[in-house]
Amino acid sequence: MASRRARRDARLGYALVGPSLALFGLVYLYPVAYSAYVSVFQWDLMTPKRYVGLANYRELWSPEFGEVLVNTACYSGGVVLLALALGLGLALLLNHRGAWSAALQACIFSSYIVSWVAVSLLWIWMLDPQYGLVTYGLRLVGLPAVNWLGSPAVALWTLVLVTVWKTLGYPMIIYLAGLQAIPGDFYEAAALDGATGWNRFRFITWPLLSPTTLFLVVTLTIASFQGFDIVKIMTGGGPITSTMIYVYYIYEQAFQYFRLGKASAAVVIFFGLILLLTLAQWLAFRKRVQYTT
Amino acid sequence: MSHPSPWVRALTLLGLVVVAAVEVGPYLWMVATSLKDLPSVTQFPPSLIPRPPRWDNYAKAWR
Repeated sequence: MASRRARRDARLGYALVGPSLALFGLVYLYPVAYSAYVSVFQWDLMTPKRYVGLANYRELWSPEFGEVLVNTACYSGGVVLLALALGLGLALLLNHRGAWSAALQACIFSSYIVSWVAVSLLWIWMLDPQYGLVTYGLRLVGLPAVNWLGSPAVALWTLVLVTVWKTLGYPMIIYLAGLQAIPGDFYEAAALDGATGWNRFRFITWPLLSPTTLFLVVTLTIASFQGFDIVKIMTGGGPITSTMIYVYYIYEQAFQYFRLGKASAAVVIFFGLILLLTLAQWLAFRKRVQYTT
Repeated sequence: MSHPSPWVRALTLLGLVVVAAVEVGPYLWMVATSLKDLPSVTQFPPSLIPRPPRWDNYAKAWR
Protein backbone atom coordinates (compact mmCIF):
# COMPACT_ATOMS: atom_id res chain seq x y z
CA MET A 1 0.00 0.00 0.00
CA ALA A 2 1.36 3.33 -1.05
CA SER A 3 -0.23 5.27 1.81
CA ARG A 4 1.19 2.97 4.47
CA ARG A 5 4.59 3.30 2.89
CA ALA A 6 4.23 7.09 2.77
CA ARG A 7 3.33 7.09 6.46
CA ARG A 8 6.36 4.97 7.26
CA ASP A 9 8.57 7.33 5.27
CA ALA A 10 7.09 10.29 7.12
CA ARG A 11 7.76 8.62 10.47
CA LEU A 12 11.36 7.97 9.46
CA GLY A 13 11.65 11.58 8.35
CA TYR A 14 10.39 12.90 11.68
CA ALA A 15 12.74 10.55 13.52
CA LEU A 16 15.66 11.87 11.50
CA VAL A 17 14.92 15.56 12.01
CA GLY A 18 13.81 14.95 15.62
CA PRO A 19 17.19 15.42 17.32
CA SER A 20 18.05 18.66 15.57
CA LEU A 21 14.48 19.90 15.99
CA ALA A 22 14.70 19.18 19.72
CA LEU A 23 18.01 21.01 19.97
CA PHE A 24 16.60 23.92 17.94
CA GLY A 25 13.61 24.08 20.25
CA LEU A 26 15.80 24.02 23.33
CA VAL A 27 18.30 26.70 22.34
CA TYR A 28 16.17 28.92 20.06
CA LEU A 29 12.47 28.54 20.67
CA TYR A 30 12.63 28.18 24.44
CA PRO A 31 14.53 31.48 25.01
CA VAL A 32 12.13 33.31 22.66
CA ALA A 33 9.13 31.87 24.49
CA TYR A 34 10.72 32.67 27.83
CA SER A 35 11.31 36.28 26.72
CA ALA A 36 7.63 36.55 25.85
CA TYR A 37 6.81 35.20 29.31
CA VAL A 38 9.18 37.56 31.14
CA SER A 39 7.86 40.55 29.16
CA VAL A 40 4.71 40.73 31.29
CA PHE A 41 6.66 40.83 34.57
CA GLN A 42 8.75 43.37 36.37
CA TRP A 43 12.05 41.66 37.16
CA ASP A 44 15.51 42.86 38.17
CA LEU A 45 17.14 39.38 38.42
CA MET A 46 17.50 39.82 42.21
CA THR A 47 13.97 40.06 43.61
CA PRO A 48 11.07 37.78 42.57
CA LYS A 49 9.18 38.60 39.39
CA ARG A 50 6.06 40.76 39.76
CA TYR A 51 3.24 40.43 37.24
CA VAL A 52 2.51 43.80 35.58
CA GLY A 53 0.52 42.84 32.49
CA LEU A 54 1.34 45.01 29.50
CA ALA A 55 2.94 47.81 31.50
CA ASN A 56 6.37 47.06 30.00
CA TYR A 57 5.00 47.50 26.49
CA ARG A 58 3.25 50.73 27.49
CA GLU A 59 6.50 51.99 28.96
CA LEU A 60 8.37 51.21 25.75
CA TRP A 61 5.98 53.48 23.84
CA SER A 62 8.11 56.61 24.29
CA PRO A 63 10.13 59.15 22.27
CA GLU A 64 13.28 57.35 23.43
CA PHE A 65 12.12 54.11 21.84
CA GLY A 66 11.13 55.98 18.68
CA GLU A 67 14.65 57.33 18.46
CA VAL A 68 16.04 53.81 18.82
CA LEU A 69 13.83 52.68 15.94
CA VAL A 70 14.94 55.59 13.75
CA ASN A 71 18.61 54.92 14.55
CA THR A 72 18.19 51.24 13.75
CA ALA A 73 16.43 52.02 10.47
CA CYS A 74 19.18 54.48 9.44
CA TYR A 75 21.96 52.07 10.39
CA SER A 76 20.33 49.08 8.76
CA GLY A 77 19.17 50.93 5.66
CA GLY A 78 22.57 52.53 5.17
CA VAL A 79 24.43 49.25 5.59
CA VAL A 80 22.14 47.23 3.32
CA LEU A 81 22.03 49.79 0.48
CA LEU A 82 25.75 50.58 0.50
CA ALA A 83 26.86 46.97 0.88
CA LEU A 84 24.54 45.82 -1.91
CA ALA A 85 25.54 48.56 -4.35
CA LEU A 86 29.27 48.26 -3.71
CA GLY A 87 29.14 44.46 -3.58
CA LEU A 88 27.35 44.29 -6.93
CA GLY A 89 29.74 46.79 -8.51
CA LEU A 90 32.78 44.86 -7.31
CA ALA A 91 31.31 41.54 -8.39
CA LEU A 92 30.63 42.86 -11.90
CA LEU A 93 34.18 44.19 -12.21
CA LEU A 94 35.84 41.11 -10.72
CA ASN A 95 33.79 38.50 -12.55
CA HIS A 96 36.58 36.87 -14.53
CA ARG A 97 39.26 34.31 -13.86
CA GLY A 98 42.82 35.42 -13.28
CA ALA A 99 45.39 36.06 -10.61
CA TRP A 100 44.53 39.76 -10.29
CA SER A 101 40.88 39.12 -9.82
CA ALA A 102 41.48 36.35 -7.27
CA ALA A 103 43.96 38.44 -5.27
CA LEU A 104 41.62 41.45 -5.16
CA GLN A 105 38.69 39.27 -4.12
CA ALA A 106 40.78 37.77 -1.31
CA CYS A 107 41.82 41.26 -0.10
CA ILE A 108 38.25 42.55 -0.12
CA PHE A 109 36.81 39.45 1.54
CA SER A 110 39.46 39.35 4.27
CA SER A 111 37.79 41.89 6.54
CA TYR A 112 34.58 39.84 6.60
CA ILE A 113 36.22 36.98 8.51
CA VAL A 114 37.84 39.08 11.23
CA SER A 115 36.01 39.41 14.55
CA TRP A 116 33.84 42.45 15.26
CA VAL A 117 35.86 43.20 18.37
CA ALA A 118 39.15 43.42 16.49
CA VAL A 119 37.55 45.51 13.74
CA SER A 120 35.96 47.89 16.25
CA LEU A 121 39.17 48.41 18.22
CA LEU A 122 41.17 48.86 15.03
CA TRP A 123 38.81 51.56 13.76
CA ILE A 124 38.65 53.36 17.10
CA TRP A 125 42.39 53.69 16.76
CA MET A 126 42.35 54.61 13.06
CA LEU A 127 39.67 57.28 13.65
CA ASP A 128 41.21 58.77 16.77
CA PRO A 129 40.82 62.54 16.38
CA GLN A 130 44.41 63.12 17.52
CA TYR A 131 46.61 60.16 16.64
CA GLY A 132 44.47 58.30 14.12
CA LEU A 133 45.74 57.39 10.68
CA VAL A 134 42.54 58.68 9.05
CA THR A 135 42.94 62.02 10.82
CA TYR A 136 46.50 62.17 9.56
CA GLY A 137 45.41 61.32 6.03
CA LEU A 138 42.75 64.04 6.06
CA ARG A 139 45.27 66.56 7.30
CA LEU A 140 47.73 65.56 4.55
CA VAL A 141 45.23 66.46 1.85
CA GLY A 142 44.21 69.62 3.69
CA LEU A 143 40.77 68.53 4.89
CA PRO A 144 39.54 69.40 8.39
CA ALA A 145 39.53 66.63 11.00
CA VAL A 146 36.17 64.93 11.52
CA ASN A 147 35.05 63.96 15.00
CA TRP A 148 34.00 60.53 13.75
CA LEU A 149 32.79 59.02 16.99
CA GLY A 150 32.34 62.09 19.20
CA SER A 151 29.78 64.02 17.18
CA PRO A 152 26.13 62.97 17.51
CA ALA A 153 25.42 63.92 13.90
CA VAL A 154 28.26 61.79 12.51
CA ALA A 155 28.74 58.81 14.85
CA LEU A 156 25.94 56.62 13.47
CA TRP A 157 27.17 57.07 9.90
CA THR A 158 30.69 56.25 11.02
CA LEU A 159 29.34 52.96 12.34
CA VAL A 160 27.58 52.41 9.00
CA LEU A 161 30.85 52.95 7.13
CA VAL A 162 32.84 50.64 9.40
CA THR A 163 30.13 47.98 9.09
CA VAL A 164 30.11 48.29 5.30
CA TRP A 165 33.89 48.11 5.31
CA LYS A 166 33.75 44.87 7.27
CA THR A 167 30.75 43.30 5.47
CA LEU A 168 31.53 44.26 1.86
CA GLY A 169 33.17 40.94 0.97
CA TYR A 170 29.99 39.04 1.71
CA PRO A 171 27.64 40.57 -0.90
CA MET A 172 30.55 40.60 -3.36
CA ILE A 173 31.14 36.84 -3.04
CA ILE A 174 27.43 35.98 -3.15
CA TYR A 175 26.91 38.20 -6.20
CA LEU A 176 29.92 36.61 -7.91
CA ALA A 177 28.35 33.20 -7.36
CA GLY A 178 25.07 34.56 -8.79
CA LEU A 179 26.84 36.00 -11.83
CA GLN A 180 28.63 32.75 -12.56
CA ALA A 181 25.30 30.90 -12.60
CA ILE A 182 24.08 32.98 -15.58
CA PRO A 183 24.70 31.05 -18.81
CA GLY A 184 27.09 32.75 -21.23
CA ASP A 185 24.77 32.02 -24.19
CA PHE A 186 22.41 34.76 -23.04
CA TYR A 187 25.13 37.36 -23.42
CA GLU A 188 26.22 35.93 -26.76
CA ALA A 189 22.66 36.11 -28.07
CA ALA A 190 22.28 39.64 -26.75
CA ALA A 191 25.58 40.68 -28.32
CA LEU A 192 24.42 39.25 -31.67
CA ASP A 193 21.25 41.32 -31.35
CA GLY A 194 23.42 44.36 -30.76
CA ALA A 195 22.47 45.00 -27.13
CA THR A 196 24.55 47.64 -25.37
CA GLY A 197 26.39 46.92 -22.11
CA TRP A 198 23.74 48.73 -20.08
CA ASN A 199 20.91 46.83 -21.76
CA ARG A 200 22.68 43.52 -21.17
CA PHE A 201 22.87 44.41 -17.49
CA ARG A 202 19.32 45.75 -17.35
CA PHE A 203 17.60 42.84 -19.15
CA ILE A 204 19.81 39.83 -18.43
CA THR A 205 22.12 40.30 -15.44
CA TRP A 206 19.84 42.20 -13.06
CA PRO A 207 16.69 40.05 -13.54
CA LEU A 208 18.65 36.81 -13.29
CA LEU A 209 20.39 38.08 -10.15
CA SER A 210 17.06 38.79 -8.45
CA PRO A 211 17.06 35.65 -6.25
CA THR A 212 20.60 36.59 -5.15
CA THR A 213 19.49 40.16 -4.41
CA LEU A 214 16.50 38.94 -2.39
CA PHE A 215 18.72 36.61 -0.39
CA LEU A 216 21.24 39.38 0.26
CA VAL A 217 18.59 41.96 1.22
CA VAL A 218 17.06 39.55 3.73
CA THR A 219 20.30 38.31 5.27
CA LEU A 220 21.98 41.74 5.36
CA THR A 221 18.89 43.32 6.91
CA ILE A 222 18.71 40.70 9.63
CA ALA A 223 22.45 40.85 10.30
CA SER A 224 22.48 44.65 10.51
CA PHE A 225 19.39 44.70 12.73
CA GLN A 226 21.34 42.50 15.10
CA GLY A 227 24.32 44.86 15.20
CA PHE A 228 25.66 45.06 18.74
CA ASP A 229 29.41 44.48 19.16
CA ILE A 230 30.40 47.52 17.17
CA VAL A 231 28.17 49.82 19.24
CA LYS A 232 29.23 48.23 22.51
CA ILE A 233 32.92 48.75 21.73
CA MET A 234 33.03 51.89 19.61
CA THR A 235 30.41 54.22 21.07
CA GLY A 236 28.41 52.64 23.89
CA GLY A 237 25.26 54.05 22.30
CA GLY A 238 26.52 57.60 22.50
CA PRO A 239 27.27 60.43 22.08
CA ILE A 240 23.97 61.21 23.83
CA THR A 241 21.86 58.42 22.29
CA SER A 242 22.83 58.95 18.67
CA THR A 243 24.09 55.39 18.09
CA MET A 244 21.61 53.58 20.31
CA ILE A 245 20.46 50.80 18.00
CA TYR A 246 17.94 48.13 18.88
CA VAL A 247 19.97 45.24 20.24
CA TYR A 248 22.21 47.56 22.22
CA TYR A 249 19.11 49.17 23.68
CA ILE A 250 17.85 45.74 24.77
CA TYR A 251 21.22 44.97 26.32
CA GLU A 252 21.29 48.27 28.17
CA GLN A 253 17.79 47.86 29.57
CA ALA A 254 18.56 44.29 30.67
CA PHE A 255 22.10 44.44 32.01
CA GLN A 256 22.75 48.10 32.84
CA TYR A 257 19.37 49.03 34.31
CA PHE A 258 18.32 45.45 35.20
CA ARG A 259 14.87 45.89 33.74
CA LEU A 260 14.49 42.41 32.38
CA GLY A 261 10.76 42.77 31.78
CA LYS A 262 11.09 45.90 29.66
CA ALA A 263 14.05 44.40 27.78
CA SER A 264 12.03 41.23 27.10
CA ALA A 265 9.12 43.29 25.80
CA ALA A 266 11.58 44.97 23.43
CA VAL A 267 12.80 41.50 22.36
CA VAL A 268 9.25 40.41 21.53
CA ILE A 269 8.65 43.56 19.47
CA PHE A 270 12.01 43.02 17.75
CA PHE A 271 11.09 39.46 16.87
CA GLY A 272 7.81 40.69 15.33
CA LEU A 273 9.57 43.52 13.48
CA ILE A 274 12.13 41.23 11.83
CA LEU A 275 9.40 38.74 10.96
CA LEU A 276 7.25 41.47 9.34
CA LEU A 277 10.20 43.01 7.54
CA THR A 278 11.35 39.67 6.10
CA LEU A 279 7.78 38.88 5.05
CA ALA A 280 7.45 42.29 3.41
CA GLN A 281 10.73 41.86 1.55
CA TRP A 282 9.70 38.42 0.40
CA LEU A 283 6.31 39.68 -0.81
CA ALA A 284 7.84 42.70 -2.54
CA PHE A 285 10.31 40.52 -4.39
CA ARG A 286 8.05 37.52 -5.03
CA LYS A 287 6.63 38.83 -8.29
CA ARG A 288 9.97 40.04 -9.56
CA VAL A 289 12.26 37.19 -8.60
CA GLN A 290 13.02 34.82 -11.45
CA TYR A 291 14.31 31.54 -10.14
CA THR A 292 14.62 29.72 -13.43
CA THR A 293 17.07 30.63 -16.12
CA MET B 1 31.39 41.00 -25.35
CA SER B 2 32.95 44.22 -26.52
CA HIS B 3 36.39 45.07 -25.22
CA PRO B 4 36.74 48.39 -23.41
CA SER B 5 39.67 50.63 -24.20
CA PRO B 6 42.96 50.11 -22.33
CA TRP B 7 42.39 53.38 -20.50
CA VAL B 8 39.05 52.24 -19.09
CA ARG B 9 40.57 48.94 -18.07
CA ALA B 10 43.52 50.62 -16.37
CA LEU B 11 41.23 52.98 -14.48
CA THR B 12 38.98 50.09 -13.43
CA LEU B 13 41.96 48.14 -12.17
CA LEU B 14 43.21 51.21 -10.31
CA GLY B 15 39.82 51.66 -8.66
CA LEU B 16 39.72 48.02 -7.62
CA VAL B 17 43.25 48.21 -6.22
CA VAL B 18 42.25 51.28 -4.18
CA VAL B 19 39.24 49.41 -2.75
CA ALA B 20 41.41 46.40 -1.92
CA ALA B 21 43.99 48.68 -0.28
CA VAL B 22 41.27 50.31 1.85
CA GLU B 23 40.12 46.84 2.90
CA VAL B 24 43.56 45.49 3.73
CA GLY B 25 45.41 48.65 4.75
CA PRO B 26 43.97 48.84 8.27
CA TYR B 27 45.29 45.34 9.01
CA LEU B 28 48.78 46.31 7.90
CA TRP B 29 48.42 49.30 10.19
CA MET B 30 47.35 46.98 13.02
CA VAL B 31 50.37 44.74 12.40
CA ALA B 32 52.69 47.76 12.34
CA THR B 33 51.17 49.12 15.54
CA SER B 34 51.59 45.73 17.22
CA LEU B 35 55.37 46.12 16.80
CA LYS B 36 55.62 49.66 18.17
CA ASP B 37 56.47 51.04 21.57
CA LEU B 38 54.24 53.67 23.16
CA PRO B 39 56.12 56.77 21.90
CA SER B 40 55.96 55.59 18.28
CA VAL B 41 52.30 54.56 18.69
CA THR B 42 51.32 58.12 19.64
CA GLN B 43 53.86 59.75 17.34
CA PHE B 44 52.47 62.37 14.98
CA PRO B 45 52.86 62.28 12.01
CA PRO B 46 52.61 58.50 12.27
CA SER B 47 55.08 56.21 10.52
CA LEU B 48 54.31 52.80 9.10
CA ILE B 49 57.65 51.20 9.94
CA PRO B 50 58.13 50.52 13.65
CA ARG B 51 61.59 51.74 14.72
CA PRO B 52 62.87 49.83 16.56
CA PRO B 53 60.48 46.87 16.10
CA ARG B 54 59.31 45.73 19.52
CA TRP B 55 58.93 41.96 19.16
CA ASP B 56 58.56 41.65 22.91
CA ASN B 57 54.99 43.03 22.59
CA TYR B 58 54.05 39.52 21.49
CA ALA B 59 55.92 37.90 24.35
CA LYS B 60 54.04 40.21 26.74
CA ALA B 61 50.70 39.36 25.19
CA TRP B 62 51.47 35.68 25.56
CA ARG B 63 52.19 35.91 29.26
